[in-house]
Amino acid sequence: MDKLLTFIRQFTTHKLVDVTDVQKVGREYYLTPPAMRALARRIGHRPIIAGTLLGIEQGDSIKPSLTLLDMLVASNAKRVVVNEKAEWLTICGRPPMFSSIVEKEGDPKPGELVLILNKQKECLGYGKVGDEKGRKGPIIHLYYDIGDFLRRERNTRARPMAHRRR
Amino acid sequence: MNKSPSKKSPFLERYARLGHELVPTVATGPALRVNTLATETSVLLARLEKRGIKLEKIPFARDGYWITEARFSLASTTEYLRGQYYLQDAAAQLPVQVLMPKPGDVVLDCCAAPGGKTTQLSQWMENQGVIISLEMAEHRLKSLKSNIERCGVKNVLAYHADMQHATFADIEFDAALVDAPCAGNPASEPGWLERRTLADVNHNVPIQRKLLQRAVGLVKKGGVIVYSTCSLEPEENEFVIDWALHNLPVKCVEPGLDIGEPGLAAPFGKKLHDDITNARRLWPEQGKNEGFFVAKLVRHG
Repeated sequence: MDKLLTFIRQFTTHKLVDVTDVQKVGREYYLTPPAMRALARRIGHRPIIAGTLLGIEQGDSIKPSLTLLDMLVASNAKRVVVNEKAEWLTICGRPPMFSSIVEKEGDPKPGELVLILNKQKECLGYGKVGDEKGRKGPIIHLYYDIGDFLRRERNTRARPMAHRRR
Repeated sequence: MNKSPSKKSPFLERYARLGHELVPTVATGPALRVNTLATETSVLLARLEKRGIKLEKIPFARDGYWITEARFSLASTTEYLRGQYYLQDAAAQLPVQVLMPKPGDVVLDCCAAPGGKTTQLSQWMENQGVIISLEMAEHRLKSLKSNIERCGVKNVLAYHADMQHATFADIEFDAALVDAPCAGNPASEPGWLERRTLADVNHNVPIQRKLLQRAVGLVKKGGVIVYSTCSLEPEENEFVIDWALHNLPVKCVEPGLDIGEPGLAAPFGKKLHDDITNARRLWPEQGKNEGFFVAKLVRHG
């Protein structure tokens, strides 16, 4: 639980989750409502999904879920808004450049973690603010972007399918 | 030399005996379902239009649109990656619509991966209540997890388990979706007519019956069970429902769909239960939908 809370604290002082509702399944943290938790107890077996995914442990850190990123957006987390070209580059895993940032909130400083949003204020990922002095280089070192979903699909698509289901 | 192995396929002869002349080259049209858990329909449509994507409303699917023009992959947009739509065949959107789960229900989802119908169940339930999803194929769990996360689904309790043997203590479900593993159909898989055999079809039948039997046993009295496949073969469809009507405490009721033909009353000359015509059979339609079968059952005892 500490890793999850440490991750959240890097962005916000707000209390985003009630830890009594959080359960760990393997390396994954889920927000599990009481009614669902009661059902899971009656079934008895270990689930593979138990409600709202918050994040997955990766070494000493957390890979945040889309839901957790959106919860951080709703808090006072620092953020930058990027233009449409950088939006596309970000979901392709490329770090946004200084010139692509159209808006900043919370005065993010070098070395701090920051959320990356598109113009619709939807979270595309997060990264660490780089040194603004060298303006030619990337301004945000990208740690996670939502293009991860696409990369996951590519990794699973080549598997055999004995029967077709959609 | 004009080789056309499809014309020799025994499946085409079977379809003709069932009263349908299937065009061997029939192909489904790409479609999407707006995920109202993650966006508003009007907002998404405007955004996709701005990207040059042309859509046409599917008249028989509540949240469905055919993709009539797109210059790039629709699986790589911000809107897709944020779960605002799910790429799903028009016919595959029907089983959940027939089941009509409500917010607060406890629903059993028997064969969940890759999660198209699971995420749709959650959408209909407005993320309230609980969906208990099962998937037995380990290599498909990643796609199930990924789609559930992407689409903002919060009410799924999922297990890596075979529905045929799973236990659920004394839980009584309000409804169950049995989207059974099947042989598929020619419209959704190039080369299907050349590759598939009747043995493939018959292999699935005992599994389909067992899944349906288990689901009926777990649903409360008055609860709804929807059985569906993307197969056109009567053995996997009408014959399974006929077996259920004669052996399980269920009746087959009108599904409330504006599309599809009644289930076959006497496929290959075998007279089936009168209620079988309440099931719906969709023959593949060029550029519109793949082949599909759906039956709505209600438990009465």
